[in-house]
Amino acid sequence: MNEPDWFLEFRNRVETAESNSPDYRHGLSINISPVIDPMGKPFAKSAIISSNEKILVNEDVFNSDKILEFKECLEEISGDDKLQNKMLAECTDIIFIVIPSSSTKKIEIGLAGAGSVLTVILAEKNSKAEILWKKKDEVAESTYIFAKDGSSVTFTAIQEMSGDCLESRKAIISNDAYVNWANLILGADYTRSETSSFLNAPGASTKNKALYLADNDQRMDIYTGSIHNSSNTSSDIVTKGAINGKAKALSRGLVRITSEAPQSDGYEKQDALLLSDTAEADAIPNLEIHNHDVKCSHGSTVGQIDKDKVFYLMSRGLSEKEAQLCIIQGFFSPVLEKLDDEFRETLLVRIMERASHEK
Amino acid sequence: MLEIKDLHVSVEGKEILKGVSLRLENGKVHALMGPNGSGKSTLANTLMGHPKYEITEGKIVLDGEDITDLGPDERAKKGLFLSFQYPSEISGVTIPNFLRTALNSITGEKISVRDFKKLLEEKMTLLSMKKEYTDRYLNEGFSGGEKKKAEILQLLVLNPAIALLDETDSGLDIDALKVVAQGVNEFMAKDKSVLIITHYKRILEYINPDKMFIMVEGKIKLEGKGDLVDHLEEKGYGWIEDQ
Repeated sequence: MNEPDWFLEFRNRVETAESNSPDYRHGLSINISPVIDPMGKPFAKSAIISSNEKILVNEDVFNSDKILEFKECLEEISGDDKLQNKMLAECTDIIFIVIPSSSTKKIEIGLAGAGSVLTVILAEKNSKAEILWKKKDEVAESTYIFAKDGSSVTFTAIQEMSGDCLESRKAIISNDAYVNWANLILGADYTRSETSSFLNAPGASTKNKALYLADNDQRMDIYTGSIHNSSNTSSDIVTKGAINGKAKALSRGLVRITSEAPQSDGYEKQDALLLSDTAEADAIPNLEIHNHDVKCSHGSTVGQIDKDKVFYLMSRGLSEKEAQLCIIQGFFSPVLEKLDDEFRETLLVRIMERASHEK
Repeated sequence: MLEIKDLHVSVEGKEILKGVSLRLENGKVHALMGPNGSGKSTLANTLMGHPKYEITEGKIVLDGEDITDLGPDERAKKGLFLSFQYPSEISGVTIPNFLRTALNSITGEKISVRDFKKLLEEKMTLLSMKKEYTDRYLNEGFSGGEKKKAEILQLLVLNPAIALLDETDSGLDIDALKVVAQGVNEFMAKDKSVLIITHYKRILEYINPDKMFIMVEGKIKLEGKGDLVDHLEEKGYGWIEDQ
């Protein structure tokens, strides 16, 4: 199909955008430069998109009566670095989800196949959305949530992909709106996951949970960010992962409170549990505070399973494997409350499966 | 009956137990006392099978079966229980969930949620434990006294044959001590065997020992009847050397 000129202009803008960031950011000596090969021609439906509700995909977007809203959103979209800009510029498919004012929607979306998918979610005033997002195969993902005044969006993602996973997600949050991210990262050889919330108006709030299991030779680079650009905003980041085999995981967090954001409240915590002697993890919480009138705290832990805890549980009749499982489940369970059932069950099942593969 | 025969135990190459022999008999309360660093906790952890403690010589025999090489979980299934001096905090795991899993492991049967709830409530009432305990994660953020009570709760629910209490009385106020002692007496009413490891005579006023062992420098230096504790209280450990 022919895409409209304004979309070609968008591609052109992001492709040529200046970026202060390095070409590709990565940690843990992971030296890869992921190539976004268009992996299919634009709008050739190389990415397989499924949904329980009618959503706008590709030409539907251009033909919809919400086209003005889409174009407005597009103006605010750009990547933070060259990789993200490339993902956008060479996107193969687009999805546009509108949650009309004061309505409530529950949408389940599956992404598979190959390609680079740009998704725009527009939650209109006082709307409420729960989105369950499931990824397989090898799609690159750029997702933008625009949470308008008083809206609430819960975005729950379960990633069980093969190949490489490149995902960049951003929420632009307005007055008294709320965005709740829950990201479960299980698959892919290499994952580069970035999820950030921009708290751009008074009363905006966000939660951002990223949970992961890394095993074998998996590499995970997980970034979570809260950018406070307005007063009375609040954010809460929790990253938790268990790393086994020869896997490496890096989790970076950022809470930035600008001078425009007094009386804001930011929190971030990153925990990593190492399950083998060859696993590696790094947890880096960053704070950037440019305002005195705020509350902000952070913490991080990287540790192995405590042998005394294993002994304690075994002394009550649990086998060594059961004791370890109990500790791993216990490590995650405090943050599993209030999460989507499928998210929780998938994590617990995968923990069990992986534990039973060992030795 | 648990028989400990000439047990030598090393930790990181250093010998702590230097030939300990003693017997824990069914239906009897045993007390083990001794100065700091004499090896009492090492004995308790070794009996339960902590991998850090290396048995270089000797045997542990439970009802005629050599259990020296068994893992802690297998020992638990054979009826051994250790009340820890410093119980681990297990985040994210509630007491009922954990204890039901443990009970099922030990008995090899699945107790229904309803029956388990009844059992747990009965034992908690006995130990004057508030219901809120069941919502909390195992030992996480518990006070010293709460942790010890939680250990005795586990003892009563798991109902082993032999209980080793490693300084379960330390750090308890009088009321908590009475409750713990009541719990142990309840357990003993069923022809069980218990070994109380302690520094203080206090707990032995509520649980009368039938037998006493005094450990000094990794060996049992003296054994006798329950009244041995009175001599000890009066004269101190220095007196042992003169015996």
